[in-house]
Formats: sequence, C-alpha cells, structure tokens
Amino acid sequence: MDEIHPLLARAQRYQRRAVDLHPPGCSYDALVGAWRDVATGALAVELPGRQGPHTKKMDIETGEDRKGE
Amino acid sequence: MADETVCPAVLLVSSRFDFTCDYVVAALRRRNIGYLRLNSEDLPGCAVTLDPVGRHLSVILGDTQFLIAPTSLRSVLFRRPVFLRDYGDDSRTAQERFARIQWASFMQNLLLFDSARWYNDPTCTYKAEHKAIQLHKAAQVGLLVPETVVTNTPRQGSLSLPGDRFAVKGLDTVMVREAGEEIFGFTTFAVNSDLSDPAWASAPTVLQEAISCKTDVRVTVVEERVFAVEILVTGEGVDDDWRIHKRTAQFIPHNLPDGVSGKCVELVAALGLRYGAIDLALSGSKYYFLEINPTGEWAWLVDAAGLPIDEAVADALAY
Repeated sequence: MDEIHPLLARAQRYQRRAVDLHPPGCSYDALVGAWRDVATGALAVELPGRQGPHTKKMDIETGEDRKGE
Repeated sequence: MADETVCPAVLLVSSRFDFTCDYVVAALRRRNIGYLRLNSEDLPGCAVTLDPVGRHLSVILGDTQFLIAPTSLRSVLFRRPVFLRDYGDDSRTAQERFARIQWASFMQNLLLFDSARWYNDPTCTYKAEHKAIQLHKAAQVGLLVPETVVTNTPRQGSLSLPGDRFAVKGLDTVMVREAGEEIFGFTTFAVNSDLSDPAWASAPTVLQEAISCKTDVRVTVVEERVFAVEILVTGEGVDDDWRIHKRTAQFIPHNLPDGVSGKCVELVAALGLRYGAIDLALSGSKYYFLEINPTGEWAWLVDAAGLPIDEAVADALAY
C-alpha cells in the first residue's frame, strides 16, 4: 500500500529531539513526591509566579496524547 | 528495615515528570492528607511487594514503609498509560522494554484496590477513549453532536453530512515516527472534491460536519464540579485546531449554561469516569460536543486561567 492517507499527508513533521524536562534549579524529592526549589526548599509549583515546572501542555507538541511514553 | 510505617489515604500513580501531579501533591499537603506518589521510573529503586489475596501493597522508600490497604486507602489518582502504543521505537534495550512492560502491568494490577475511588478507573478510561463511544454517549445525555461518520470510503456525494466542508480527524491520535521525525496530525478539513483520493481506503477516518464560526470551549469536570474556558487567539475563536496556535492562545473563564454544564457532568458519569476534559465548540448560541479526554491535562489552566482545578482534584481525592 503506497498511497499516503490524507490525514498523514497533512500532518506536521517535527525533528525528534531530546527534551530535558528537568525543571531548572529544582530537584525531585521522592518521599514528598514533588519537585523542590533547591535554593528555598519550597515546592516548585508553589513558588511565587510559579516559575517551577510547566505542564506538558505548554511544553510538548503532542501534549496529552503522549500516552504510550 | 524501615524506620517508619505509614498508611496513606491517597495513592498517586504517576511519573516524575508528570508536573500536574505536583499540583495535586501541593494541594493534598495543604489539606494534611496522607498520600504516596508512585512513579514508574522510581519503582526499581523501591522495595515493592503486593499481596493479591490479602490485598496489601508494601512500598519501602528510603527509611519509610508505605502500606496500602483497602481499610485506609480512600482514592487513587491514576496518571499512567492505559494504552501502551507501539511507536516503532526500538531505541530501548530488551531489558528496558521488558521492565517497562512489567511495571506498567504492575500499575494496572493496582486495580485490586477496587473499593477506593479511582480517578479514573483505567478500565473505564479504556472504553471512554474511543471516539464512537464518546459521541454516542454524548448524544444520549442530550449534548448536541455534529453529524459524524467513521469510514474508509468517503466517496463524493455518498456522505450524509451537511455542507461541503468536513472536519477530518483520526479515529485515534495521529502520531507516528519515521526517520528521526515525529509526525503529528491535527484536525484538518476536506471538501467534497478531496474525497476521490483512493488513499482514504487505507485507514478509517472520522469525518464530521464542520462547525463554522466557532469558539473552542474546554470543560474540565471533576465529579460535580465544572470548570470551563473559552480559547481565543487574538481575541477571537479559531475555525481550525486551536492547538496549532497554542503559544498565543488565551484561556478565558467561561460561564456554561446550567443545562450544558449538567450534561457534561452526566456524560462523565455515564462513561464511568469521575474526571474528564471535554472539548466543546460554541457556534452562535449552540454548544457542540467534539470529544472527551479521560486523561486530559488541566494544570496549565490553573495558571493560565486561574481555575482551582488542583484544589477540586485534591478535594475529590481527600473526600
């Protein structure tokens, strides 16, 4: 089957690249189950202005559909 | 030997880089609710023992033993794959693939704790992920559903869809990898003259009545609580897939009519879910159901729209 399905033909192509998801300045606290700001010890998601982790939705093109990963 | 043993009320099944789970952790801590976050990549570093008959799970993490038992476990937030999809990725070793599959199965075996409230029960997620089932259930609860067919033979003139322009979607996520590239398909559109292409036959496709002059509305349902945003680009709705414009999109809190809001709650329950992210299209005064994602993300809306979804999820888990 050589024909390309129209949905695939119209799809967008991206170069696969290694994405570093590690939030800068943070380390993961396995016992607490969350990323902490190394400088203050605060949970990254509770930092003022929420400079901590971003959600997948903001960062990764395939967002919520990356279920197999 | 562990120095301390605790029996958490909430189990979070996740991965380290699932930052949405960090929001839930923070909200649970504000409520003083005991929890354990089990990350897939951390499991090999823990001592994990599951007793299927006695229904006890022991996880030793550092100096602490966590005991999961039906008597103490209230709820489970399950944020791991229900589907393990084949992306043709053979970059992992046999050991890595073996371990990944076995741990994924371990996570799913936690369904053993069936007296806890699951957000969501993976067996319900599995069924609810399918578009035909979603559309049928949405129509059943009274949501307005665009005329839709799933077909590999969309011959010109044979479709019963209104209009000459159709939305075209994959029946499942359109994502494959080839030669170092990732290929991702957004919703696209076709007109009647496009339908003569014989390549349509190679795979089933969702063809749907195109909703024109629409504004996308994202509805996040956590049991009875409903959070809606309208998605605007330069102050207006977009006719194509808003995810193409996501870097400039604005998410504005939106008041759904009570009837629509209630039907969204009803749909989530009808699919056996406690949580769901529903995509609606508002055209004129009509709200059309497009799809529901039982594992849809929501954390970006906490920041972008100021919606306390993290608090709602924590409330539901802690109840």
